[in-house]
Amino acid sequence: MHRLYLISLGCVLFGTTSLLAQKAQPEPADAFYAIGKLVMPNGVAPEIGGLGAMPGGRIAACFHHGQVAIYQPKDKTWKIFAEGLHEPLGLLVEDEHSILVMQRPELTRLRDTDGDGVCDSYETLWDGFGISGNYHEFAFGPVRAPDGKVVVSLNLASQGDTVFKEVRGQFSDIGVPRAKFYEGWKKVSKEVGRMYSRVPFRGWVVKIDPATGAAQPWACGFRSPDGIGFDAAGNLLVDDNQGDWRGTSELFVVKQGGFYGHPASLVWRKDWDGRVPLQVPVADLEKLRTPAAVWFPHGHFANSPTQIMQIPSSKAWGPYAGQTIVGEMNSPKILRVLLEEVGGVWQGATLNWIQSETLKRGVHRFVFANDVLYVGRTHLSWAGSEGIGTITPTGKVPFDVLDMKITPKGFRFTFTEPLDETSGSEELWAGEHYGYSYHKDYGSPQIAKDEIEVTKITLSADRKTAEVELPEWTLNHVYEFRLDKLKADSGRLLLNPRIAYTVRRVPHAP
Amino acid sequence: MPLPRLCPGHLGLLLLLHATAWGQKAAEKTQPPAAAKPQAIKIAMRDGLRFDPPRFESKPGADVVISLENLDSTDQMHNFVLVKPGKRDAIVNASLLLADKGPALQFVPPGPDVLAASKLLAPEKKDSLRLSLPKEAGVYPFVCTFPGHGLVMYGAAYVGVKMPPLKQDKNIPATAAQTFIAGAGRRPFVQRIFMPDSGPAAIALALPGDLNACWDAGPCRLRYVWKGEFIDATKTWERNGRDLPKLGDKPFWTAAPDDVVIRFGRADAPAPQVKFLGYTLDQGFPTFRYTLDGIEVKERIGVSKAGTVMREFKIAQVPSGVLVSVGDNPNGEGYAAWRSQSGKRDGATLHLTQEEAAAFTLNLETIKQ
Repeated sequence: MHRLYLISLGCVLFGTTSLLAQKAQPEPADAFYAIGKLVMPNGVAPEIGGLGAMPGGRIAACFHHGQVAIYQPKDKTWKIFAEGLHEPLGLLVEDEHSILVMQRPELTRLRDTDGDGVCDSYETLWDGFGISGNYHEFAFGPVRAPDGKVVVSLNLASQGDTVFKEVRGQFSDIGVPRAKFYEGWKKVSKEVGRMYSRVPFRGWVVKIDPATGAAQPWACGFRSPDGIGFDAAGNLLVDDNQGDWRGTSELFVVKQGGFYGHPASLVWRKDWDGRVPLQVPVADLEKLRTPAAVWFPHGHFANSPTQIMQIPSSKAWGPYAGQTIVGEMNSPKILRVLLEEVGGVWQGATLNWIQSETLKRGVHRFVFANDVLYVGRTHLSWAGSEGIGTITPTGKVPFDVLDMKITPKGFRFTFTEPLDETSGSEELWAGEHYGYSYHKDYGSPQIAKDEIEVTKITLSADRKTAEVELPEWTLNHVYEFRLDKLKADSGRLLLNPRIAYTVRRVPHAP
Repeated sequence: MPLPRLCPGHLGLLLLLHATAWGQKAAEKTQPPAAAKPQAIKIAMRDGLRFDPPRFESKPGADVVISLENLDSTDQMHNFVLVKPGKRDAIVNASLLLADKGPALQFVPPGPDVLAASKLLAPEKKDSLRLSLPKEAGVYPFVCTFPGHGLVMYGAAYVGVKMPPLKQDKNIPATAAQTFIAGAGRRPFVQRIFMPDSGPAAIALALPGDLNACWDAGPCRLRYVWKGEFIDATKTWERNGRDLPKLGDKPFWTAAPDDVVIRFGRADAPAPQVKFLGYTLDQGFPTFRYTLDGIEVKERIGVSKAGTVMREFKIAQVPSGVLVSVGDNPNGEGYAAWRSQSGKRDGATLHLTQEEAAAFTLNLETIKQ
């Protein structure tokens, strides 16, 4: 949980806020965004696996128990479109009569062929991947790539249980032969690894041609990749949950053929040499892997990141148009990520975008339609909540970090409004930098933590930009700034004062 | 979630002492209870942030031992905090306000509203609390105060108060009393879900006349048929498929484990290569589409006028005669048997000519002996 959030909750509960403290409080996110909710359809468990916008303005949603329903904002009614799907965790609207949905066993095209508004044809578009029957093998997506193809992702299985007697797809006996999966699980589970990949393409991101169903396994090394999306530059972004081989939750810029850290899925590489992934020295894995572009520090940023989406370039979203947002299950918020490529390496920052109790936890899926952001929530029996929230910008722009870029000597921050003239004072730019271990254990503490030392601050003439200089760098550290004392010229405090930049590489001085 | 690093559980012990002291205080006013065996209450912490069972009933002042075990498989830590009536929300909020002090206190806020608290339990850890329940009859909530859990993870001790029916109990989370029958009783209904004794790409079918079937989209074949209630998927949905749905009854017909329904040409022809194409629905009845060695087959599953499960096959461009597996199942007073108007039956095989194979129907009849 966010400490600042807890303190502010305390103030609300006990009403002990002094006038002075009130002045020091930033405005709540609700001052900038009207947060509402939809009435949900009757008889449908309201855990949202996917959201999409129909061309005519209706909103499609898929639900935990397998329904797809369509919401008409004009009269606030729902109509069931399809039923009986197996844990659908993502959908993509093709047109008014066709929706792609990723359910546990397959990517399916749902079509209404007779025009009565109800799906009558459930066509298997792609089922060329394995299912072991392990409960943790979720399937996420599809998301439309700039080339028109779609991208899905496949969760690993969990040590929490074994596999079915009958599985779909080839079974990998590497390290632990299949017969052992049916012996005493407590003992065997220790050998298979916390999260495992025994059937094809578990832990992979896969690209599929929606016209033919032809699939290309695209990249591997994932654990629980719930969030897939593309940024404005067309980069494929995938996030993943803290766990084994994930010191904290992470976001990756994914390239074809890449390996993104969790070794279990390596066995499905065509050229894999048959080694047991868990026995490959970490140094060898380091050579194979592309590290995360963004770490979401556990606790204060995200514990369980979800869908990734671009903010549309509509005036309603003000200065954020074209930026990338990420959902989060465990606290009531949506984050932003700010990415850049430095010397061929992707890296960047994350900060909150909208954090509000009204939003509720469990933020899982997004769709932007008519200047409204619909937010679908779920929990799947973990932390989270249910239903669909709506976020409508009020037109008022908060004092916020608009962008953060690395420079040879430090960072360049850009703000939504001019800074107070005292903002050049170093003590306002406090923070810490630290790393996370890459190892098979679940999560990592923050390691080699140190205060951020700021040596020089240069404000631009309009005071909307600040160049912050540091004496030295520690690569592969996240630099987390806490700018809660920084003020705008207007006297406002930052809506989102914490920002964490993951430094992989530093640009050369021009 | 990571396991927070905690100091050894001195605090749990302190709280236990606190609980005992409170119990004694309550007992001072009247006669101490007779030295009877304490009431044993077992409560597990399970996946989905819940106590199982979510409630128990006891007598005012009763001596009880509450045995707790964290059986949550999702790496969650839990505790059990029994509080005064109406104080659940207050305790949850107070535990959140502990902020950085939370871990040292095992997330149990100090104060008189807490009647008893267990240690913070990592997965697979146990604790037990022995205490005298309050003398005052009432509904005493218990809750997990680990941050983020308390809003959903709670239950109730009914002390001298009779428990209402589970579904009407407002003192436990609504989810604790819900059951989900897929399709909510509608027939026909198609539900894809993990099923017992099937491959993982299973499809459950609810048919009129309380008939039900499991069709497997992996090998593209019917697995079994049962009569009675459809599937109770409550636990399956709650636990993301870790628990399989409960069927209304045992199947009265089950296919052989490695059954090959259709072979082309000869009985010893290799099993055809299968590819699932999906299904269409008409009036809710599914027609499964798949290819066998590239030849498209449609299999509609419905119910005949006589009330039997009916499979209507259509094969486009049949290359040869077809052999259909029609294995019978003995059960109880007779056996369940697939019968067809066309073809010739030879043991468990129905032989169809190329012409007959273009469209044929199998009915699952119950033959009494």
